[in-house]
Amino acid sequence: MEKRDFLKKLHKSLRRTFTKQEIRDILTDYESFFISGANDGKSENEICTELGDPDAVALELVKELPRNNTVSPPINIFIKIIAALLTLFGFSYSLLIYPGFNLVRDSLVLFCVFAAVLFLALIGKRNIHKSGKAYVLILSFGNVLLFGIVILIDTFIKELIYVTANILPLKPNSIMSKIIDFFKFADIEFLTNFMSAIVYISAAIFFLISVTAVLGFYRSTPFYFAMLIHAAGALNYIGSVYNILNDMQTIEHFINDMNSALKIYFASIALALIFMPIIHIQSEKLPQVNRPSPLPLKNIFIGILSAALTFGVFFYFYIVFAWYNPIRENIVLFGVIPVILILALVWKRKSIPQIPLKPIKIHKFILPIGYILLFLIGAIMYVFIKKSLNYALSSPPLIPNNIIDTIVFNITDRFKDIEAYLNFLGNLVDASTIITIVITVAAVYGFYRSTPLYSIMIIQAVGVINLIGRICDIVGDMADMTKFNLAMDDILKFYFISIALTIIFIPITYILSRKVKK
Amino acid sequence: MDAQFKKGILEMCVLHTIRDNAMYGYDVMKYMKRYFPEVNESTFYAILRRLHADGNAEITSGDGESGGPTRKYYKITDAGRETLRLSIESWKRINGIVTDFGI
Repeated sequence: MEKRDFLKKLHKSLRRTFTKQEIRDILTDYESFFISGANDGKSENEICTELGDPDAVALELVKELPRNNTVSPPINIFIKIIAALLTLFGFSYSLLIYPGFNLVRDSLVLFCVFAAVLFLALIGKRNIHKSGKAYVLILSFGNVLLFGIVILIDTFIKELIYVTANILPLKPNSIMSKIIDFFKFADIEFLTNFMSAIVYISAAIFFLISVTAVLGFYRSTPFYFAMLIHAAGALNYIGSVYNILNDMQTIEHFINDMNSALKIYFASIALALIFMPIIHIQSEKLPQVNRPSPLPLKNIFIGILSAALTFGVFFYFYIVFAWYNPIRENIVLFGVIPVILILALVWKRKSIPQIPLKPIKIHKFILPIGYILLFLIGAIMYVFIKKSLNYALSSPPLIPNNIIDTIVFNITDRFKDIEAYLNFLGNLVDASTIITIVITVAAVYGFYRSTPLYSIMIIQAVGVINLIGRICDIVGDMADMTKFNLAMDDILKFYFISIALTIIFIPITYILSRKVKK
Repeated sequence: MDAQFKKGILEMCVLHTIRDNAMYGYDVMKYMKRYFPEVNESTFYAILRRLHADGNAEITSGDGESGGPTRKYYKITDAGRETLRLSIESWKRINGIVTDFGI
C-alpha cells in the first residue's frame, strides 16, 4: 500500500467516530510519520506494514477514547435544528393542515419527510458512546404507550359505532362493553367533546414521545429513531381519526376509513422495523476487524434446540388448533415466544464468550429483506384472500376500486369451478408457510451466529404464521360475509401486535446480548 | 496476553519513555517497537493520544521537515508522574508476589 491509499483509508475509517478537527490532527501526525520513515530510508510500503492496517489503527484509536464521552460534536446542532423543524413540519402537517383524509398523499408525506429526516440525521450522527440503561425503559414504555393508545382508540370508536348502528350485539361482561354501555346513552354533544378531548390528549402524549425520541436519537442510541417513526405514525393516525369522525357519512365508509388509518399506522411500525437495522448499522459503523469465528459445537446444539422449539410453536398454530380461540393463542404468541427468546439469550450468553465481529454489510441487506418479505407475505395473504372471497361470494358483482382490486378480481375470475379455486387458495397458504419457515430458520441461525437484531425476525415470522393459520380457520368457519370481514379485521390487529411486540423487544434483546461482549 | 493487562503495562512503559525528555511521537513508536515487536506501532500512537487527553502528557509542537507537517513532541506532566508512580508501585507489588510464588 502507498502513503496516499493508507491516509485515504484511514480517513474513511475515522469519519464515523471522530470530529473533523480530530481527524485532521490524526492524519497530520501520520503524514509526519511517513516523512520520518522516509528519512530512515524506508519505502512507503514498509512504513505502511509497520503502522498496520488502517482499519485496525482506527479501532485502536476508538478503543482509547475516553469512556463517558456522551456529548455530540458541535456540528450536530445545525443538523439537529433542521431535523427537528422537519419533524415538526411532518407532525403539524398530518395533524393540522390538511382538511380531508387522503391515503396516498398522507402516506407519501409521512414517508418522504421521515426519509429526509433520516438522511440529514445520519450525516450528522457520530458514534456516540452510550451510558446508562434508562433508555431500555424509556423505549419500551414509549412504544407500549403509543401502541396501547392507538389500539384502545380504534377498538373503542369502532365498537361504539357498531353498537350504536346495531351491526354487532354488545359483548356481555367485557370491560370495553361496559364503557360502551355507558357512552351509548350519552348525548351527542358530550360524545363529541369527549372524542375531541381524547384526540387532543393522545396527540399531546404522542408529540411528547416524539420529542423524547428526537432527543434520544441525538443523545444516545439509534433505537430511538424507530420510536420516532412509530410516534409519527400514531400522530398521523390520530389526525386521520379526527378527520374521519368529522366527515362521517355512511357506516361502510366509516369502517373502511378507520381500517385504512389503522393500516397506515401499522405501516409506520413496519417501516420502523425495516429501517432499524440500517440505522443501527450505519450509526455504529466502527472499524471492523475480521476475526475467525468458528461455530462452537455447543452452539449448534442450542441452534437445533431453539429451531425445534420454534417449529413446535409453528405446528401448534398450523396443525393442532382446530378453531379460533383468541385468548389461548395470544398466550402462546406472547408467552411462549418471549420465553424462547429469554432461554435462548441465557444459553447464548453462557456458550459464546464473545460475539464474533462479522462483516456487517450482509446483515444490512438480509435483515431488511427478511422483514419486507415477511410483511409482503402477510399483506398478500390478507389482502388477496379477503378481497378475492368478497368478490367470489358477493351476489351483485363488485366493481374494482383500485389497481389491487383489479388484479385480485382478475385472478379470481380465472377459476371456473370452485374446487380449482379452493385448491389455489390451499397452495397459496402452503407456499407462504414454507417461505415463512425458511425465513425463520435463517433468522434463528442469524440470531445465534451474529447480531441479536435477528430475534425480531423470529417474532415477526411467528406473527405471520399465526395470521396464515387464523385465515385458514376463518375461511373454514365462514358463515356470512359481514362476520367474515370483521373477523379478518380482528386478526390483522393481532398480526400487527406481533410486529409491535418486536419493536418493544428489540432494545431489551439487543442490550441483554450485548453483555456478552467483553 | 490479556488485553487489559497488556494495556496497563504498555501505558506504563510509554509514560516511562517520555519521563525525562520530550520525545517525538514517531521516535516513541520506534523505541517501544524495539521492546514489544509483536505490538502494532499504531497502538503506541493511540496510547500517546489518550495520555494527552487524560492530562498525563503534554504536547509541544516542533518544526517538521521543510515543507512537511509540524512534529508533535510528548512530555510527561505532573499528573502523569503521579500516574506513573502508582503504576510502577502496583507493578512491583504484583511482580514481588509472582516471584515469591516461584514463577
